[in-house]
Amino acid sequence: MSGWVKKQLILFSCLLVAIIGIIAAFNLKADYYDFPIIEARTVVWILAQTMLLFAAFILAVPVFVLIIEIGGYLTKNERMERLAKDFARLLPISYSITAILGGLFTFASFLLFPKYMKFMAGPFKGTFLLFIILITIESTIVYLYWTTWEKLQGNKKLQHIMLGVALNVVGTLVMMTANIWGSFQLSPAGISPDGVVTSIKSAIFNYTFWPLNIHRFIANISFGGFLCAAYAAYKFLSSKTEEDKAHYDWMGYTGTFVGVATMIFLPFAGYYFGMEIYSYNAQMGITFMGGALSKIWLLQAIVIAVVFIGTCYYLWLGLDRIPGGERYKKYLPYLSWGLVITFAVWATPRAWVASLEDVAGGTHPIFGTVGVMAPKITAVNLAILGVIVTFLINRRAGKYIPQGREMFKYMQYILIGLIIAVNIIVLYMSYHVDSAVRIKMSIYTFLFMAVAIGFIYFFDGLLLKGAQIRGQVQWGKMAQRSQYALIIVAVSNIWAMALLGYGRAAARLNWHVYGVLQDTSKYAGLPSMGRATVIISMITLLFLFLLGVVFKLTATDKKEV
Amino acid sequence: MDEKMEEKNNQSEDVKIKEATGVKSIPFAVIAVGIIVFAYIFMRYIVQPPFPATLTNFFMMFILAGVLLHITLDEKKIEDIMLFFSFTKKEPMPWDIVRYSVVVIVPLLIASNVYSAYKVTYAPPAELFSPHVTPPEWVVNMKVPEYAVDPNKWESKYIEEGRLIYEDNCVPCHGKDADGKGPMASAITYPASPTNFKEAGTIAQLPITYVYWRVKDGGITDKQFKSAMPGWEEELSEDDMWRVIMYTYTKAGVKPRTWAE
Repeated sequence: MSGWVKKQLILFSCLLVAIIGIIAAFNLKADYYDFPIIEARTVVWILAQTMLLFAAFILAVPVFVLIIEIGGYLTKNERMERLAKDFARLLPISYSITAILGGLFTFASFLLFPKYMKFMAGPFKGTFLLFIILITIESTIVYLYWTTWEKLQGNKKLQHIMLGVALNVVGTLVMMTANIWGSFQLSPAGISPDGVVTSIKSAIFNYTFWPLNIHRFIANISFGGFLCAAYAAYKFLSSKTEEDKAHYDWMGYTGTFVGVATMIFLPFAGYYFGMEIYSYNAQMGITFMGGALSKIWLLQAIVIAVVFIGTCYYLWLGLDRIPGGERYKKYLPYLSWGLVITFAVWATPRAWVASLEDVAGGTHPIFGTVGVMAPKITAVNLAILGVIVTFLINRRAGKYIPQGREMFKYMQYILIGLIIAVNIIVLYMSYHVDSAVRIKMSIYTFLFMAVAIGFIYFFDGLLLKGAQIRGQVQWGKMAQRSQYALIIVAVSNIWAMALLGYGRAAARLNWHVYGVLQDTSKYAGLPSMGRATVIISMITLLFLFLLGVVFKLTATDKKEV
Repeated sequence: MDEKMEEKNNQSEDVKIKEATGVKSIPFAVIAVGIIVFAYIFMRYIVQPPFPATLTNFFMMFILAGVLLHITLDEKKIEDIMLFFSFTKKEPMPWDIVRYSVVVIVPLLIASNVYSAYKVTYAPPAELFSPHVTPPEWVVNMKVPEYAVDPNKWESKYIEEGRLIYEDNCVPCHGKDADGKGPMASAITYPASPTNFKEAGTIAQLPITYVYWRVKDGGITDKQFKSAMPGWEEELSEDDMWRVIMYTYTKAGVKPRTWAE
């Protein structure tokens, strides 16, 4: 019990700091206060985003750990059990750091932006309280989950898994509670004409509440997978023994697998989010996607390209350690160029820099035809198909395809051909129909793709059922550059999250709560893109540093165990 | 060491066949250089109109990344490239020219970039260009007149009236066919040429109220969107503006953006 109290002490002291901030804010006279040198906005920005990244991490790790733990339990795989435990070890300290950042963030926002925070504290008092209760429960379960890991083994393993499920359920509820505030700021609902919240239910279930939940939930799992892979890559590169190399190689692969398998759903979650923004306020959609903030999407396309291509590159190089993998190596350059081209399409701007020499002005036919949304959706779909094909190659490489099953292979080819054909037809049509029809078509295309991919995997299962393997995967026999790819992927992932965090906040322009509570501070205007990216990079570095601290602290723990 | 040995064993079949039969293929380094050079020439000189310089640089980044990925997918290719540019292996004359050109041209390119970055120019500073800037509050909340709301029910008499207004006022820049190629168009290039309404990324992407705002206020005095488009508020009545917009959409063969409910 005393251990529990000790672990909760940090949480409680952070809550205390937050509450002191809140009480102090209600006694403040002015609407805004500034922070010396680095400015009030930057302080809150850095604290909020770093906290969000940590929050994503502590939501991601339990999901990731649970998946691996269940996998290990079902397949009786000792290695998975070890990996799950290795990661669960990170939880207690990560929770404390998140709590510290959260406490500081609340404290700073209430003292620097009292006008906004007082507005939110009114109608959302109940949700603030709910949040405090939920994080206390969550942190208790984390404590139990970690301390009972060794006790609940063997027959009792299922109980431990249930604890993991409970942790994830509460964790998701915590995230959803925090999403109420963020989504309300972006698309407030349940408001009277004079800006008073009249229906708390509508305010909670506003336009972007569910899209934000879904998007964040998927992204968090992916994030966890990639961070695990990057950590494994770091350990791989610094391993001295073959045995360690093999373990961390396998760990990197598992992390990447979880990361990519969830990441391919993210573009669709993003479309859904975008669609809801457009239906909430068409103008916000245009500002976000085509106007002042459109450059964010170009940067995003580039970082996502790094994530997608980086992971595929890792998997391609991984063929070297699978006996029989060399059969597929000759196709890889085509796949690689295919992905590069699809991402070049995605990243093509609608308009770029206007200089005399360029005479851009949005009139160049390349800008006009490739820079709009229609080809980008096709490009993303084809990029996802590229990832799927990479996975198929990885599954197939080390196996002999049993005789008489060629049929399933041809069925897969037909499905892949169909996906390409449908996307090209939709692309052609997209240029000739209304935007509203085009957006609907993209949803149906996604549904078609999801079903087709499902069938491709179904046939793959039939094709490889009981297939004889060509030899054991030689874990650890991996080119060093593949590990650097994993690290770059994780860093790009963090950067992308910080970028889009900024994007979502910037979409409100000069409003604290869009259309309801105006930002009248001197920081109401958007920073330039250049300045924003500098701060985003600083946040990325800060997060990496803190994560390094977590890994360092838990690494010393390891020796004691 | 083991890794290296294994890599050598894993050399693909074709290479072995080629080596056995003595067929000399083009070194991959030359192909890589060829891809990079061709991509640049294609974008700047073959495609008409050529890609703008900034866009070319942007795409070149992808090309370079693609080449780098291609090379590093295979240990053998990395070795070949290293060997090729280390000048330790004798190569036939044409490939020799290629590698000497690369080691001479790459530093020169860097030098030229440094030079142009520091050279004093008299061109207006380049700026990020946003075609769809954020409109003022009234545009977002404005009501569209009954006759202009539904593009499927636009009456031909209004469109015909719009045509006359368009031909009187808009043709010089935006052209008879609404393609941005009016007789005066070539004189206006900075920061934006007259809009080609047929292009997918222009009026088809915008709600009709947004277009109304652009016609009414123009771009000369606008703080966000700077263009040579005059504001028509004083020349045309509100109805005239709606009609000319209806005609423009009809002529360009597109419809205003609407939203799924």
